[in-house]
Amino acid sequence: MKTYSRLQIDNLLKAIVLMLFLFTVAWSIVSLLALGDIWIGRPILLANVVLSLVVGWFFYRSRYHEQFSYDLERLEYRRGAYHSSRRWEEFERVSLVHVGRGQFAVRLYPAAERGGGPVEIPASRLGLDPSGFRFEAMRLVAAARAGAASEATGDEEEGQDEGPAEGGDDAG
Amino acid sequence: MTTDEYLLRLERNLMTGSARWVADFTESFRDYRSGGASFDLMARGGMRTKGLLLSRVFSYLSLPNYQAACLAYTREVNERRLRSLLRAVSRFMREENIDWAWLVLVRTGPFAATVEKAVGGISLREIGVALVDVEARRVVTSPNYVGKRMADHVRCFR
Repeated sequence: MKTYSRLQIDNLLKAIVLMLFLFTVAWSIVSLLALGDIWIGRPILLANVVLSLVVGWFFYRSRYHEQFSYDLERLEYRRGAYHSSRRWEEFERVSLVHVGRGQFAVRLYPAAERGGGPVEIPASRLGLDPSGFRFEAMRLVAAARAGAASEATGDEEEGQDEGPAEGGDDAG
Repeated sequence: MTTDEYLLRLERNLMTGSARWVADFTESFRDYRSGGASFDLMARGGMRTKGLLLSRVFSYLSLPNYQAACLAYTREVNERRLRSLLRAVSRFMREENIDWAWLVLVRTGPFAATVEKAVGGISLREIGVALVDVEARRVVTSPNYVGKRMADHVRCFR
């Protein structure tokens, strides 16, 4: 399976700044209750920054970090704790979407018979070439659907082959 | 330049280039089938551009929410085929609630004089047609307003 994942600096910074803010507020409350005043000295600030870096990293991994893997049969998308695994044959159409600020995503539309909403792969954010990946996804979807259709036809033909044989047995 | 390279450039120009001044083409399909025809490219979007707060409010208050599409076709075209393509585009516009559309016919080499003449006589209000010869880097557009508007945006050879 090919796997794509890229560190998203903006989301990592967001997580670290959020943690720094929360730790600072938490320490302010604790120091106010314990010492009767809000005391933020250099050591406390340094400890908060170090703690925010560590906790922010884990927060980023559990909430924002994206990973995309695919092979000839299926695709897997993971964002933080969210995980989705689908098969290429579930989709019918593929499009390239401009999501703003020069960032592109590849949108996969499920086949009409399956229903449901489209799946969006944030190609630019994952470090994929959006246009190239779009063409590859189109090929994979077409191949998977052709394979699924030929399997279905094969099953039907087998079923038809079995039919007369059973009938023959009955007749015999 | 090949027609495939041209289509990539056209797609980029529609989604992130100069065509964004006309409409915000946000989504693009390849090998798009509609109305009995198969188009090599179909990009669609709206005329209300997104942005930060002020530009979004301005766009909401001042711009009509027209839906637009651009379809490209790279196979051989004669007068008859042109008419059937225009019918397919009209049907596509009705089905997808598109208010106006660009039809870009791409070819390596010159178009037949009859096709150029037919495009020169198009008087449809909602469909603009452009003939793009990628070899000579020549663009001919229909004389209607939508056609004239597309000339600069489909001329993306560099």
